[in-house]
Amino acid sequence: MKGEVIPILSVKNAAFGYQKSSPVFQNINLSLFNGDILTILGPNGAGKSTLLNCMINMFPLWSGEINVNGKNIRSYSVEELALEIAYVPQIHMITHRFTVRDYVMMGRAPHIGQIRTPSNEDFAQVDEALEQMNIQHLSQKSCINLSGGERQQAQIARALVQEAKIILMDEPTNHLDYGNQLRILSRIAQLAEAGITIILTTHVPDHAILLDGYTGILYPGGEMEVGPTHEVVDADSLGNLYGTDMHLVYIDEVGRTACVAGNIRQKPPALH
Amino acid sequence: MDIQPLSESLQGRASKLPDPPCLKRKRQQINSDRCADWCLLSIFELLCMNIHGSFCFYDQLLFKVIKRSRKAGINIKTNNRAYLKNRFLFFLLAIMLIILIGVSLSCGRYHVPIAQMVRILLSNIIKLEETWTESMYNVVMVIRLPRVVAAALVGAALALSGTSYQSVFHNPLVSPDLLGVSSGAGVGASIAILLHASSWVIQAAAFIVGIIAVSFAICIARLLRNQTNLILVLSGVIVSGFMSAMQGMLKYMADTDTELPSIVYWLMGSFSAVKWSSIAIPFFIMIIAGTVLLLFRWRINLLSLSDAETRSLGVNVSKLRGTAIICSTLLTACAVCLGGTISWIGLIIPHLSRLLVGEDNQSLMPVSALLGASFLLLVDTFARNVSATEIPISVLTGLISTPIFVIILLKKRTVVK
Repeated sequence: MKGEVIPILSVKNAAFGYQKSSPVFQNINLSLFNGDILTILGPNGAGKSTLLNCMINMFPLWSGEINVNGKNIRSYSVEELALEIAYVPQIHMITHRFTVRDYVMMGRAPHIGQIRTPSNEDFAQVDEALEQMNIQHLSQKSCINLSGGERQQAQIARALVQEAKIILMDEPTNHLDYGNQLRILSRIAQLAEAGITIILTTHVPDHAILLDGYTGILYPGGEMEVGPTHEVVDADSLGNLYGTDMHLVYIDEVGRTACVAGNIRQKPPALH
Repeated sequence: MDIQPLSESLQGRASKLPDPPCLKRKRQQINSDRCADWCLLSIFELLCMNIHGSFCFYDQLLFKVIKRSRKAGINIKTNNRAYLKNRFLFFLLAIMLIILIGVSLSCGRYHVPIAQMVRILLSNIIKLEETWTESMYNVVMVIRLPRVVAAALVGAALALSGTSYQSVFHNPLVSPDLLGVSSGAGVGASIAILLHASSWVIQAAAFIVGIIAVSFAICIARLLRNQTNLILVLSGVIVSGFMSAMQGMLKYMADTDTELPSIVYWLMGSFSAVKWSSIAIPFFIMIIAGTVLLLFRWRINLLSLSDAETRSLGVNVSKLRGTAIICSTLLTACAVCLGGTISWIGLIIPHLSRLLVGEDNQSLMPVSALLGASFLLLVDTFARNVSATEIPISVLTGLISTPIFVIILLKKRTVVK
């Protein structure tokens, strides 16, 4: 992709599975540089989240290696890796009642000593991230009372204060309404412009086209096809992937290609 | 076995006092003291309920001051506004605790005037003219002070470990005996009582078996190669169940005239047997474990997230969780071996504190510890003053805590709305 420069994140021949006989994914290769966006598409249960979990060293790979800054992540300590990679999990039920500010402050953990408490600089940084995500008005609100979109923004703010160069996002647009999905995507694009490398998973092929970076298509067999979005995403591969009729159409009004599903009824509806 | 005679002999010594005018005054004193205690208790409850409200007021006041000073060109750092507010509360609670200690030292079957009590305490540090009788000195320094210290420490320990358990297990309804410390300690104490051991051995046995019970719970979780919270909770339930069965068997085996009452009395909790010599070792363990927990208090926040999230923040989850569990368990085990099984404190005080300062353990843990100390001290003072014989602590904490819990739940409901 960019000649001799060491990629910030590279995966070589990676394979992993929960059970000995069936690998979730295998033979995965990719390398990303500063400011790249990789969108991972795949049907339910294909192993998208598992791949992300392997990247934060939750599960040891069967074979192959994942390198950050040219160094294998197995040789990073938990603390060191947290300075390189931030992880935004799927939105789930939040059971704690921390205020948004306290919650975002948790992202500073790798920068705060074991027995230290947050300093004024940490607070300043958190407030800045809240402003950046446009949720400063929520800072004293309890996390449990947030809407899905606000919660997602808080999670991203938490990843921002971690000051990592790579952010992994597990389905950041899940459970969000259409407007919020697009707002989150434009935030992601902004972050990438600022030089942060982002890997996200999604169920909507259109998001890959909108973000227009690299796309990885993870097939149920465990193989992944990676490349620039306009090369990888085509009607045939998407149709194969989701087992439905998919079309890529160029739309003049917006000046881009859009992914459109075919008719969902077997026969054309009767005209009554 | 020798809890009862000991406390009786101590109290007997206190009531066989040489000066008759004091004795005459004593009877009137008991009545007025009792009134004072009732008042104090209701004031405490009201205070806890209203502190929240008055706090909102204080917060607004602080906000106004900051706004004004900004207009005047003075820039106050507001980053830690919430923290500042909580520091004020901390200060308030510390004063409350000191007042309660004073009240508790002077109240009792043998009344020691507050001025004398303060002089007696000070006489240990600086030289003072003796204006007190020797029996006064004994009552304050030998009988009451260790008891007061023990009650305050146990209250703080239970509240602190309750707070950290609730954070570690992501569950606000968890109390510090979740992993079987209390039931284990009960079995240990019962065995020692059946063997007619001395009070020192009873204490040690309670502590050791309590720790063994928790180790078993953790071992079961390890055996299953599963360190998640759910498995830990389940193995805690298993160990607690086993220990209560053991307890039942020991009670059944006990002599109904001598041993059984001792066991039951121990299980209901009391500080009447506390002496300086018996609190020394638990005191040090508690101070160390409590300090470690308080040092890690901000980190413990991170355990409220899911394991993958916590790990991605650069935290070694099992190490941090292990530290929190070990420290809390030590605190609880020490508390149990000093005062017997005392229920409810570890559940209700963290809730009350959360209502006051919110979820952040940075302020929650110290406030919880102070509130727990004050609460148990008050309950103990009450227990030894309200009737001729002592009321078991657990009975009182249960009676007082349950209505408070209902009020907290009501209050929380309105907060959510």
